[in-house]
Amino acid sequence: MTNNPNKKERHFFLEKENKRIYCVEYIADPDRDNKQGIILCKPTWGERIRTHRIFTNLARMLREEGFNIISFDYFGDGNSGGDTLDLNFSGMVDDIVEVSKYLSSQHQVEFFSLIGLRIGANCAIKAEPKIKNLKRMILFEPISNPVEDLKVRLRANLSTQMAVHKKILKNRTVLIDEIKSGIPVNMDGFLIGKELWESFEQASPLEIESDFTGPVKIISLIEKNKKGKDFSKLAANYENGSSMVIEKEFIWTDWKYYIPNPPIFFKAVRSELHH
Amino acid sequence: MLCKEECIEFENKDGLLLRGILHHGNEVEHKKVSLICLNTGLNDMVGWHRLQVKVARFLADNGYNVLRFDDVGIGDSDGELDEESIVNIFASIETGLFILNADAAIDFTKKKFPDGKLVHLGFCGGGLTAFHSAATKRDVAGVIDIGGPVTLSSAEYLDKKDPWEVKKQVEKYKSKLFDPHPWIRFFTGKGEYSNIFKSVTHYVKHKVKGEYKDSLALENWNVDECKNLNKKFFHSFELYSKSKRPALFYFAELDSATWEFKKYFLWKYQCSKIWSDSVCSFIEIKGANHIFSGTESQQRLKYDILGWLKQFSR
Repeated sequence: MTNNPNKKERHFFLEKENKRIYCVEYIADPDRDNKQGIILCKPTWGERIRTHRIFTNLARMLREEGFNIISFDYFGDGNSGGDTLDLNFSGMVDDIVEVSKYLSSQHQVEFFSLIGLRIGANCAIKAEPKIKNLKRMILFEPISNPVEDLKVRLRANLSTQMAVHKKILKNRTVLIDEIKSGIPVNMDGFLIGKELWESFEQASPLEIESDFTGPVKIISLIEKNKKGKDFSKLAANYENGSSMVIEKEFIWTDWKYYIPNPPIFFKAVRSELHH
Repeated sequence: MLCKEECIEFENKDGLLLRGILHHGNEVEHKKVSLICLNTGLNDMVGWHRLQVKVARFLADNGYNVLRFDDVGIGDSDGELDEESIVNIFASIETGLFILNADAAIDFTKKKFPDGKLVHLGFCGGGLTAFHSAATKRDVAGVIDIGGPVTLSSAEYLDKKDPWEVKKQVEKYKSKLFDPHPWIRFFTGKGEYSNIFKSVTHYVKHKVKGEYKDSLALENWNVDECKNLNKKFFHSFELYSKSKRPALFYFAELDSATWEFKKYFLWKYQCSKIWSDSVCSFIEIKGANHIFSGTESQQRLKYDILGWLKQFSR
C-alpha cells in the first residue's frame, strides 16, 4: 500500500529543487496538539544507523504528548537522495531549515524546538538563526571540532589497509591531501570528498555567536565513572544557555547493546521541553 | 538515470506496520524481476554504509525493482525488540526472527508486480532470513545470500575470540617476529599485552579442539558436534534446494563468516546433488571485508549481482 498522507505517522520524500529529503512526520492528534514543532537533527553515517531507532521512539513518545515532530535524513545520507559525496555541512543546515519550513507550512506549528545529537547538534546550532519561531534547542554531545573528528574517523581507512595489504600504504596525511585535491577517500564504506571536508573545516572549531534568547541546553552523555565533556563555556555563549551531564545509556560507535528507549535520555528531553 | 523511489508500507501477519522504500526499475529496460532486500542485524533499511541504497539504485537503473524496508522494532517500522543483548538478538535473527517480515514483503511485492519474479537479497543475517522465508514461500524464485554466517552469534564471536579472528591475529604477530619495532614497543611497556595473551591462548584452545583442521579431515564430522552451528539454516537451505531454485552465496575473503561457511557448509554441499540441481554458486571476493566497505569490492558486488540476475532472468 502506498503511504497515506492523512496518517499521523508518515514517511515521505520532501522534494526541494534537486533534493529528495527522506522524512518521517509524527503529527499530534488534534485534541492534544500543543502547536509546537520539533525537528530531530540526527547524526550521520554509522552514528545515524545506530541511533536512528532512538529518534523514532522519541518522536513517537513526543507525538503522544502533543508535539508535531519531523525526523529526517540529510541529503546524501540515510534514505535521502544523493550520494555521500553530496553531503556537506551547509547543505545539512539547509535541510533542517527546509524541513522546518515544510512543517510550518503543512501543520499549524507556532513554535519550534531543535533536538540534535553529535553533528546534528552542530547543524542545529548553525540552523538556529534561519529558523522562524524557534523556541529552544536541546543539544547532545555537539562535536567541538568536526574536521578533527573526521581525521580520527579516517582510522577506518588505515585499518582496512592493514587488513588488505598488511601495511599502511597511505597514512592519514596522504589521505587528507588526496581528499583536499579532489580524490574521494573511503571511510568505512562512505566516500569522503573535498566539498564535505572543506565544509567541515569551515565549521571547525565549533563556535557560537548568537543573539538567540530562547533556552539552550547542551548535554554531555557520560559513561559510568568517566568524566564527561564540559559544555558550560559553549552554553555561556547563549543568553539563556546552560549545560548538564547525564548518564550515557547508548553508544553510537558500535553495536554493543540495543537500547532503543533510553529512559534517562528521554527524561532529559521531556524535562527541557516541558520546562 | 534517477529511477522512481516510493515510500511504501505494509503489514506483517502480526498486524505490525513495516515502512520501506520501493525502487522502481528503469522502465526502458525493465526485467520483470523484483528483489527484496533483507537487512543485516539491527541496521535499518539503508544497510552498512548505505550499501543497500547503493545496490538498490544500481539495480533499479538496470531495470530491476528493489524493495527495502525496516524490520519490526528497527528504523521506522512498528513494534519493539524486547531484548538488549546484541548476541541474543543476532542469534534470534539468524534462526528466523524476521521471517514474518520477509513473507509480508513477498505478499506486498507480488501484489504490486503480479507478473514478475521475486528474488530475496539478504545481507549477513538477512541472508539467513532469505532462506528461512524462501524455504516455505515458493513465490521466491531465487536467493542471494551475502555473507550470511552459518554459526550462531555468540559472545565469543563478538569478543573477537572466534577461531578465524584469533588465527588472523596470531598470523599478524608472526609476520612481525623479525621486525624490531614491535619488540621495542613490547619491552618498553607499549605492547598490546592483553590482546596478544588473549589471541595466543584462544588460538591454542581452538587448535587443541581441532578447529583449524582441513575440511577434508572432517568428512566423518557430525553436525551435532558443533554446538554453535545454525542447524535451522542448514534445514532451510535443504528445504529450499529441494525445489531446485537457484542461489548465490556471495562472500568476502577477509571475513570469519566466509571461513566458517567454507568449513562447515561449502565442503558439505558443493559437490552434492542438491548444489548442482538447484544451481547454486559461490563467489568469494579477494580483499573484501564482511561489510564490503572497500570501494572496489562494492562495485564488484553490484556487477556480480547484476551478472547473476541476468543469467537468472534468462
